[in-house]
Amino acid sequence: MAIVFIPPQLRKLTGAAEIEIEGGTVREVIEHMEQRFPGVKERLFTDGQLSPMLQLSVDHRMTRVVSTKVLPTTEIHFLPVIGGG
Amino acid sequence: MKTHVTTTINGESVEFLCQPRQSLLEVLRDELSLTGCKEGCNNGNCGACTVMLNGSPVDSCLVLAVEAEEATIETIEGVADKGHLHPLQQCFLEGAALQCGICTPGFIMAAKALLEKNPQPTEEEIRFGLAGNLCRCTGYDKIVRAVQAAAELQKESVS
Amino acid sequence: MSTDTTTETPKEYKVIGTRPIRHDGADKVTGKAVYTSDLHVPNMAFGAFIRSPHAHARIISVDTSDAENMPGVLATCTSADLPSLWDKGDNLGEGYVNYAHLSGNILARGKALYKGHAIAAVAATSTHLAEEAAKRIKVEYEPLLATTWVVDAMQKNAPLLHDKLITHTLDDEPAKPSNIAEHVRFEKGNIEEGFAAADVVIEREFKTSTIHQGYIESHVSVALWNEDGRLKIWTATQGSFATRQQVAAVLEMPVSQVTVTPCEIGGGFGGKISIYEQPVAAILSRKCGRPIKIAMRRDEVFEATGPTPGSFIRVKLGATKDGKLNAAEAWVAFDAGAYPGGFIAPGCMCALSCYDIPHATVDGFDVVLNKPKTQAYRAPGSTHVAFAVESVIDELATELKIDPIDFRLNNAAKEGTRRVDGPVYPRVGLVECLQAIQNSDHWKSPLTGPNRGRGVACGFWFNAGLKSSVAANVNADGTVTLIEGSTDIGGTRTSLAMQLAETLGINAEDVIPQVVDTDSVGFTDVTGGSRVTFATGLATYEAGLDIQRQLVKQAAKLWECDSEDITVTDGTYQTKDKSLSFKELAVQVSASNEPIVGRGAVDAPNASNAFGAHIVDLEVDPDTGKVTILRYTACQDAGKAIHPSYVEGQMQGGAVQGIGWALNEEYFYDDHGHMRNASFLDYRMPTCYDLPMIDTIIVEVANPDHPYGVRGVGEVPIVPPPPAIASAMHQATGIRFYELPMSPPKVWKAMMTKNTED
Repeated sequence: MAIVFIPPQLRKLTGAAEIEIEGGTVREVIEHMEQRFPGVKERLFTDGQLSPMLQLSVDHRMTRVVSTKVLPTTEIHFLPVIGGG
Repeated sequence: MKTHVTTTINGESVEFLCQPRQSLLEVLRDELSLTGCKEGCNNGNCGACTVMLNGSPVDSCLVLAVEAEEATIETIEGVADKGHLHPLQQCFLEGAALQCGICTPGFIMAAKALLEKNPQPTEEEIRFGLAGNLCRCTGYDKIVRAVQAAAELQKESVS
Repeated sequence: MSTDTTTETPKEYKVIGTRPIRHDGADKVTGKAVYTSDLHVPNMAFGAFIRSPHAHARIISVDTSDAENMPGVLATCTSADLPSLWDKGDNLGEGYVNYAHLSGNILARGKALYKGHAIAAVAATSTHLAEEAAKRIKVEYEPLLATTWVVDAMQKNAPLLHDKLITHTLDDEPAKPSNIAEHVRFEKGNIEEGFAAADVVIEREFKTSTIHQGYIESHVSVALWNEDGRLKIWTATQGSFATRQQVAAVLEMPVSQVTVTPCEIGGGFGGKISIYEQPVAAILSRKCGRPIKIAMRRDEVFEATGPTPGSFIRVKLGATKDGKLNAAEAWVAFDAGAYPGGFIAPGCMCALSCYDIPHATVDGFDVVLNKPKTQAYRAPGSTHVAFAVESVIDELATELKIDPIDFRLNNAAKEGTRRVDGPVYPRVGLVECLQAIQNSDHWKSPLTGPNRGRGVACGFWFNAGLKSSVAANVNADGTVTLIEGSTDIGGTRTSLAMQLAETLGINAEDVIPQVVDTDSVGFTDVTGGSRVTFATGLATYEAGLDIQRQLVKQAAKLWECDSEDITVTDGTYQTKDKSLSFKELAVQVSASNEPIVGRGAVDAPNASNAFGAHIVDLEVDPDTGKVTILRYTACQDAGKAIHPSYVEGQMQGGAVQGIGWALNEEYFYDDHGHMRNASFLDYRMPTCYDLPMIDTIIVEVANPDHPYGVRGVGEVPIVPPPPAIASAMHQATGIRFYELPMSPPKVWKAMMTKNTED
């Protein structure tokens, strides 16, 4: 079960700020989220991939790889993508 | 209609043709391939184009190429002496007084002019003397220290 | 003393931590280094733009015929020559880029969105001719109302820049278009609860102006569209692969047909990641069959490249009487310029990043308006929010009569702190930085005299990881050539060479670093985001280990033993009866064995988490409002300073940019939306004479994600100066300044007003 931190703007779809969702990878977690809270996936994905405007924090490591493995206590955050100058 | 100019650059006699509207900066870089002096603003506000004209540092973007007639010009290409770096160049390297390096030729020319007039400047005199050269990378700290170090080196070699 | 280093767990290195002369040094001090404008490509011709004189206008027609008929004119180019790209975009690793917007920014389509917006371009046999010809291009405009202040642009009746721009948000999107391109929100805990429990609550509003990165080299490119359909570009860029990707997307050609050669670059700071003239030079080259050079003039750089956003920020902080922060609320509006993408998300994520606050919300808005499209300027967004948040922190500390460094220490983010945007910090060095400045000679020296004040502030930037590739070839004489693609803006080729040298157990001088084009090295993300020494360093380390593995195998052949019998310690390869240094062994094996080529390719973890804390002493002249910086100390956690001189240089340079941001720099806009100070004369950047020495303290709290502990250093130093200076100004004058810059006219007026009121 991953612990997914829901972005504030999506909380009216999920009803909570943190939810536990099963899944072996981030993609599976998002699919299961969509089953429980329809409409969430289209806010996070574009054309079957993570939205180019988002990145993930998986156990506090930033990544854009949705096949990243998820362990029972993994924390997932959805964050805007950032770069630098 | 182009003007014929005869001048001395880094100790060598040089001739070139130029239009009246061309700046010395443009001619040095584009006609004579002396690309060491740089264009930063083209209106005399950044000093990246500093060269010596008849012994004084000038913004070459504010000098018309025709003004070089019978003048003596020194550019960054003439500062090292046959493969031996000038103390300023050596001190800039040892003191890490450059980051992107685009302002460096201009600073070295301005600092050389300063030390030739005032071999033992105070920190304030260095800062005033280099106030016409902009650097956006270094914050000037290491540049000032490099000029101080070069002044020290030159003092030691004289004594 | 200029610098101090505090290392958490000192380790003995042979090369790392020393100060060798940079490998490209001789070229740079003798004027031999080749910057893009120094290039003379055979048969080269020159391009120039015509740009909108209006801040906002419909383009009715563009007629290039008069220009085309001039002798010496070779070709013209308008937006009709660029493919139409409807809403295509990409994540370039440095944020999302919308190619339709990028193309529209390169050459305006349908509307001019800011004064200086490029409309068309012309190629001619000289730059002077090109500029004259550009003036002959006839453009008919229908001027429209313009807006250059972010709050005005957000209003319902504001002139609309884009008919179809709907606010991007994870929430429900609005039905109607507006100038609000994005709304982000971050939340932690419950702010009602937090503020209810606070003993002191302070709320303030802040404004910052548009600022330019101010690199001394302008934007320059040479493009050659070859007869075989391949496009070669030489350019001043922070990222040759990013340039390649953008050019290929805008021209709709495969990346494999575009080669980008990065020349030496004269500064970037985030402003030379996006493309401007490259596709236009390419099209002109295709049309006339000659290489085309375009070099922007300085006024074009100011008006038509990528300054950093102006902003309006409201911050409310609540604390208990013993100085514990318990609630924060921030409302942040950044202007993005003419197209979306003003760094609102990183700005919001940085706002409270220095503190452990249980309850907080941050709302951020990315707003388009009639100014050039903004770009990153060193820690984009962080300086704006730090000015606001650190200023309120200072007011809280003053009100609660708590020392400003102690206040920050009591609330400082550390390992395990949960950020407002969600993730938890790993090991970070903010506390160590605050302690270092508290123990510094600067802080302990009293400041006396009238009109003088001292201020402190801290700052944060994530620092990027992203992708880098290197190759490293062992030469016949035992030296190693390092092939890398990170354009060198500040000495990074040397810091990479040093890391490879340390890994192999050789001297830094025995590594020859080369920055190469996009055909000659694997994909490498930009030089920016404070990432090169960290991420390309990681790739370099991997290449070093790869070389070691290969050399062990070669040694085993040479010594007729098993690889397992060979140990490597500090660059010495040994069996029980043989021992050779790296160099000796490399010389021997190169004669007879296969070449040794090391390889490293990484997608480095993002966020090495850089923190800094600065102290400033200043004096205000009450007769003129001019501020003199008396003393400055910049402290930063570098993780590990590979080459301390260049780390100090980043800290000093960034601090001085922040000082300029605080005291003088701004875009002056008139009522027509025109910038009135587009030159280095009136866009007042600090000179040598404006400053004292900048002392530095390097703290080293090792980054667990790098073998040598490296964190990036390039960006954070620009963040603390504006709030530190604002705090010092308050001490010096009794006045709180809520607007940047705190330039002499504003300071003088505020002091006069206060004197009258007093």
